[in-house]
Amino acid sequence: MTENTNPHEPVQPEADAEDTTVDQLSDAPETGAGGTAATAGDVEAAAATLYEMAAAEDTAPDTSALRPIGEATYGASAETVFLPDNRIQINNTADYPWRANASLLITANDNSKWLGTGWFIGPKTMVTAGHCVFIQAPGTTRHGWVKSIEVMPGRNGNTLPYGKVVVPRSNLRSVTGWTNSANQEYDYGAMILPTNLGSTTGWYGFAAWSDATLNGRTLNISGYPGDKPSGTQWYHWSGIAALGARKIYYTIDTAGGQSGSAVYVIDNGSRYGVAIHAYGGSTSNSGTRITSGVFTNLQNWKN
Amino acid sequence: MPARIHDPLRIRGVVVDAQGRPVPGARVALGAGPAALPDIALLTDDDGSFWVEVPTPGEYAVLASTDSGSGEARVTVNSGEQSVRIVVG
Repeated sequence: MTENTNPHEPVQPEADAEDTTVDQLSDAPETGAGGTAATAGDVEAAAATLYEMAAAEDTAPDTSALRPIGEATYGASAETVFLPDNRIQINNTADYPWRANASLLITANDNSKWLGTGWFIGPKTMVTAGHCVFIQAPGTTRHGWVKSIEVMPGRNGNTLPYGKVVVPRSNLRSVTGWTNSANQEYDYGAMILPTNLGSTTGWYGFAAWSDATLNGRTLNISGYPGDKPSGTQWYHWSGIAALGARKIYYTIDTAGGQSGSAVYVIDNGSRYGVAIHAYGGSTSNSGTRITSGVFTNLQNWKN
Repeated sequence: MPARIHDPLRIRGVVVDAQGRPVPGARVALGAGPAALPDIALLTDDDGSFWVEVPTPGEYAVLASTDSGSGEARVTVNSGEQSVRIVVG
């Protein structure tokens, strides 16, 4: 029998698991014990206040932060704060969601100290960037899983409303795409705290959403930038600049120290992380997108 | 262990105050460069020193912040290690 082979028969690759359009949503976030900051649609109420203040002012523009003209000649370079700097300091860090964010003091293998940010997704589980738990510096004593991380939820300068918890190396989590391959698209990790501190602070939900669901959403970040007074939490927001299969790009102002912050959407008043902030770029900053693979790991680390 | 495309590129530096004294615990971060940069900050050692790897050759802005002032220095790393001194105040 002759095979019926049609050289024009169309083919296409099978959909990659990361390309799935099936939205996944964690359990609803928990707000914890204590006050809760209000939202204003897609942003925090603090943002709405800034809009009102800007509308009420009629002053000359502040040019003190303009970059030198020479930079226009030498082209764009990776910046993490896109002028003007509209970041808002959060002072009521003992309210939710701010208290679900933590300042991280990281001790690397070589005893160097680093600053990052983490966010609760459950009573004991905090998400952060992969490079906050595993430092890539092959051939040096710095390389590998960090020694420990001091977690300070809701920190406000020298005030620690929920104290601090030390997470040992054995309680850190990440994925081989980061630890073995240093692939930025897999730059995410977690810490399993030795106490249920998240039950007090509350936690974020998290979501693996399709491009269709994400498009048009406003993204929010609140974390601990090192270019601001020590240990202060700062918030900013923007729309989506671009969606990659495994990264989300935005023009939210960030600075070194905010690695690991939740990139979250406010959905009917509830906060859901959709990415983990990780990098500053030339025209936008980016985070590791919560895809189905990331979602599964976060779910497993939470439970 | 991830494969390196090139020998490690590194910025080694020291943060000092306006009088030239080393500043321990200053917060150092890469503020600008030719590639996406991890948004993590490093604290200087007791002698004000630090080192950090960079992903690719090019010019970098290194920012140092303290609660009493900040400073910035630019350094070009083409190969190996380059030094930088940042004055905060």
